[in-house]
Amino acid sequence: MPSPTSAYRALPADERQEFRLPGLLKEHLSRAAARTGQTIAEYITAALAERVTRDLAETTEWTLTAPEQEALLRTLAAASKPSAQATKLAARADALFGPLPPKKKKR
Amino acid sequence: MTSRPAYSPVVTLAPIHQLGGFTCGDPEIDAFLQHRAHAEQTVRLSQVYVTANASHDVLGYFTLSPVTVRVETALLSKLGIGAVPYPQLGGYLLGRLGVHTTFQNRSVGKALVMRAAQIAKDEAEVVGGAFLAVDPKTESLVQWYTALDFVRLSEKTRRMVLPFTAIP
Repeated sequence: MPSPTSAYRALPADERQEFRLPGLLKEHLSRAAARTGQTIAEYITAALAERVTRDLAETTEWTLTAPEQEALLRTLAAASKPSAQATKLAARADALFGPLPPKKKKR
Repeated sequence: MTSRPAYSPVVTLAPIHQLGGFTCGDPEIDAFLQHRAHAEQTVRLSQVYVTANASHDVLGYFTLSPVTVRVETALLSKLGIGAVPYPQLGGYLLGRLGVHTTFQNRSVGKALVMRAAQIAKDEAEVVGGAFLAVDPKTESLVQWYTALDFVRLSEKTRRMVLPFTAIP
């Protein structure tokens, strides 16, 4: 499996991004990129990909209003059993895709 | 692609799968599978699950990713749930769902939602989680998910959940 960074870098670079940065950082960027044998664009893309992967890999968080939180809690607390339709749909899924693979063991 | 489907088991997207011919009628859903799915899966933004035919042409797919909801402590007290150390609820987000146009109107999409829910429930038994969430793009999709036992959290948004207890 390719690394997260290489996955981004394998995609076409079809967008532009402009931003300002301190002159000293730009100078150091040029030196660092040259030291690694990369162009500045390659160096920045690799660094960005690494950072973005790390920051986005965390779980998505839904921000709900208090009434929505209450609705969620009440829905979960209702502890419903599978409906007849859900059971029928599960049978349909089994018929189409085969049974679920064996369950993973708890870590 | 023949019109006689032979759906493979639902598995995670792999290089063997053929994506170029996939069309479900929603350009965004098609483009995601064809251009971004491998990359998003590789960077762990979401897990992409597919069913395919014998030639590995993808016939349908969905994505799952973890989602958490922060819950106000006062609300937990109000509902008699009491204090918990980490007032967050975890679940899985069914992010994208598509079925090839040739195989629509055969309950394949509904079966894929059920399989997504079952996979998420299995994952939750290992790593925790209580629900499958969706955020439908249209009101007609809200009705579609309502018919699958999803519960809408408010009229102001389209966010919906299906408790894992409701999944066989």
